Amino acid sequence: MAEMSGKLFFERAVTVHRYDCEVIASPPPDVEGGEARQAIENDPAADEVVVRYVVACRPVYDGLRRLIGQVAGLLVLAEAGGRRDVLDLPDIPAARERWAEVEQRLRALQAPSGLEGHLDRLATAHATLGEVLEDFGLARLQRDWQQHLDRAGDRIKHAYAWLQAASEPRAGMTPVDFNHACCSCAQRWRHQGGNDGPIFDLGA
Amino acid sequence: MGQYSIWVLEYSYVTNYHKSGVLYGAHNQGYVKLPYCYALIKGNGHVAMVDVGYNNKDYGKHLGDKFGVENWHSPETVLGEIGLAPKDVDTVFITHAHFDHFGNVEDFPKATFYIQEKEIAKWVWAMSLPDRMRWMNVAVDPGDIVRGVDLARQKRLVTLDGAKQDVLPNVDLNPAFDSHTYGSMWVTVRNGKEDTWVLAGDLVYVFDNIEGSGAAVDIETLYVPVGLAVGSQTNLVLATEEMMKQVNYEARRVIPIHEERLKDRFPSRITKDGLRITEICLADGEKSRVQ
Repeated sequence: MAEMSGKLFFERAVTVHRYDCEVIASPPPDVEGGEARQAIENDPAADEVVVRYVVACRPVYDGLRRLIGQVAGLLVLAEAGGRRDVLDLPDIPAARERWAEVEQRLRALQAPSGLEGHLDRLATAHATLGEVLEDFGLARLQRDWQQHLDRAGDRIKHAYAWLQAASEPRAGMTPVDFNHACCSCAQRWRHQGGNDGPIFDLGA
Repeated sequence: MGQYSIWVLEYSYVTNYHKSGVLYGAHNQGYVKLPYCYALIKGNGHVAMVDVGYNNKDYGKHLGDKFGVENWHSPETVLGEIGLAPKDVDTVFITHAHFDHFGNVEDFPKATFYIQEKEIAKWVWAMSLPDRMRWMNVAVDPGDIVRGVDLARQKRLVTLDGAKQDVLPNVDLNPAFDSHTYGSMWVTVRNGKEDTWVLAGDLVYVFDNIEGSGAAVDIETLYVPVGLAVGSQTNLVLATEEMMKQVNYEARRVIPIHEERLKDRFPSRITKDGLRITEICLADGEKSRVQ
């Protein structure tokens, strides 16, 4: 374990599974490991290249996080209220535009050696979300709108599972923004000198 | 005595929570213990919850390490202490969509959930805003909304447009729009004549939100809003007034679930897991779970 590089740790922290695998909803075991944490903090190989990658991919992660929440919310409104008019809201074309913006950022990302899997997971979350948005479009145009929304409901779960699989709290990539949350003791924690270690402490 | 029993069930806590988080303007006044709780209402053939806590599998490690959240226990364990199980719960009122209130729906497989439609609709809007405005979607987990999709497809999620009386017999839901969150709500249990209880969600964190010191303005007490609002403090104060009106201004009948000092006003006990059960009231014929 001691020789494991930061890159390898990061890679293993988001283990590879099929997009529909239930396992990816669970935290990868290495994320829990104190030894692994120690390794990444001590490893000089986990250097600027990784940091540059993390900085560049955080907006992509955050864009996907919020798009998934937004689209899932629209699905809730449509399904819980049985409201077809949700499909006509301007939020849906706006979500498509943001999806396209995220795609551009995603294309510009260059994963360092060993982190290709992480980038793949972000790309799969993005592609799956694109399918959800397509379902919205089809639902709006066709009579069997409920059927398309059902499929969108299945796919949004997969998109979120991929996002979870690409999460790395120490890189500021978490599904929930806890700062200022009800539970947040972030200020206390920072006053006490807490940080996530030299590599991934990016002020998240 | 009345139709419903109410318990406040602690499922986790933060030992040192900054006081300014629970009380608006209380800067540099130190820390308080912040219990994480949900409430259980039992009576008239129903078992209902007010909020469901969060899922430790997803957040526990991170919350523990980074935010000092301790001693999380599952609903199975927590409800077990009062002789119930999550599968007994038929109704859940979600006061707002923060992850520590809406983050564990999967543990309640037979429940129908109620939430304000505006709570979802405005989160959708907030999540669409530019990065520089992301403060406005703090503490919401997209995963909880995704799980909400499943509930909706199973017809187990009811979105409300405003107040709803008698959602269960003599149980009412009241919105407080644009306050703590965009579509927060509180639950009113009308147990009998002059025996009304308000379960405030996060519209009131602690007693001081209702009975804050009014010394600075030469009055005994005044309402001091909670520290976190994506809406306005004015709306929090107005909601507090509505709650107080419902209980004839008897402050002890507005129950703040993040208040460690509930034990000073109601019977309670600590479980073998170190979590507190507080008994707010008992229905006719119901046995105490704290004695």
